[in-house]
Amino acid sequence: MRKSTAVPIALLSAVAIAGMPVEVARAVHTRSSVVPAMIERGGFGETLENYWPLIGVVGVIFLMSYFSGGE
Amino acid sequence: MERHRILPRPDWQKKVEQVGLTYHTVRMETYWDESTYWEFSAAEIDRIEAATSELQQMCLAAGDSILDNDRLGDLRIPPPACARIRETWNSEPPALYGRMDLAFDGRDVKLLEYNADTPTSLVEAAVAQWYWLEERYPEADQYNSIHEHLVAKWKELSGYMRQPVYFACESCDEDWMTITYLRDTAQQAGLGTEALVVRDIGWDSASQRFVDGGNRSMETIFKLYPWEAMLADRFGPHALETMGKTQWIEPIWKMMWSNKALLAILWEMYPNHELLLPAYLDGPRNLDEWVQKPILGREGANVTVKLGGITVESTPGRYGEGGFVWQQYVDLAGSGTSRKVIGSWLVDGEPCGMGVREPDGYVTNNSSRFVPHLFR
Repeated sequence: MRKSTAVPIALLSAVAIAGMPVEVARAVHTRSSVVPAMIERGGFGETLENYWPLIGVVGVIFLMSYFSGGE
Repeated sequence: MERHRILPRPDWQKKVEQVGLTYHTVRMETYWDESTYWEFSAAEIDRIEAATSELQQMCLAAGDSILDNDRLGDLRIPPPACARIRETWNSEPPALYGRMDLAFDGRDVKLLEYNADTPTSLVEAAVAQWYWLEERYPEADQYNSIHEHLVAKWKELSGYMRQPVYFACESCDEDWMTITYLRDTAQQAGLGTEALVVRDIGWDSASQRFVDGGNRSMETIFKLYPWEAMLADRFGPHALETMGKTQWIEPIWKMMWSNKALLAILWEMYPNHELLLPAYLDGPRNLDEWVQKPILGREGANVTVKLGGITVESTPGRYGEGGFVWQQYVDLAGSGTSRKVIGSWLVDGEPCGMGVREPDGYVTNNSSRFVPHLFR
């Protein structure tokens, strides 16, 4: 059950130290600047992206009502 | 099983950040909490491991039962996806990992749910708590060979996958570090990898293929993004149409296990099984104390806990439209005072480690504290 060696995590450590924006920026930066017309982007990520602002609003309303000294 | 209070390492934030746990503090609250640890006995770890293994076998039988009895409708799975679920269940394309959430009081284990599609809290379970153990209690042991199992599984899959393997997630710190860690394990297995955010996946209508930021064809994609969201997205139909051309990890059949209707189906198949809690799809029936969960819910959203007719907790969210499961309430504190949930990890269907989460309330969510563990 016990590991025999320490967990080697060169890539993880490098990204952790550099920070997430570096990797994300790299991914965006390497995108071809001339996108052929037949290629669409942004077709994944819509559902949950639209969801997080909603959670934020609901959460704020919930917290406001919770801390407003209600019964 | 005992909970200990200790002083955290003075520079703990820096230490866990260096091993990838950059999200140790969530909304100004400590998420990685090393002021506490849980000590287990070897027998207790054996119990958790054996229970996880047995539950996995039961889930395999449940998958067969769902398909044999045409019950994908009970899971509210969109009809266009059903054929693909059947195909992939039979053809067994690459699948990697999952995390069962378990209640454990030192003796009894109960399945709370199975995060089989997009499990997180991986970096803290596989890496951060291991380094913590090495520094603080090197003489003790930890139930944790997640890393070794991941590397071994990637090696096994390498002959069946086209490279590079793309790793995609939403633009969020925890998800990005999770896929970075998984990339690390894949690279250690000799695989070529790339990473991008899911919004940057392109669709080339001319070649009918998904493409990366450089317009290169993407043939193997690990996605830390739930299937139900993918199918609701604009590119969802393309994912279904091109499933042979593009290998998605986790495969689409994982929709059967990540769906909380699985809990009710398991209870139907194995009534009164010692590892299960009573669970129903049509209401709480005769339960006095129950937890109502959306079958497609995530991270503790839209969960209601009712004890003795009184709602003691109800969380907000938007997952109420896909149906619910009603599961018997279990006291996560057991005979102690601190609630805890065991996240029991499986790689390639084999139990291989665990993490402990401590919710403040009745519902475990994405900010519930992660607490390291050891056993002696």
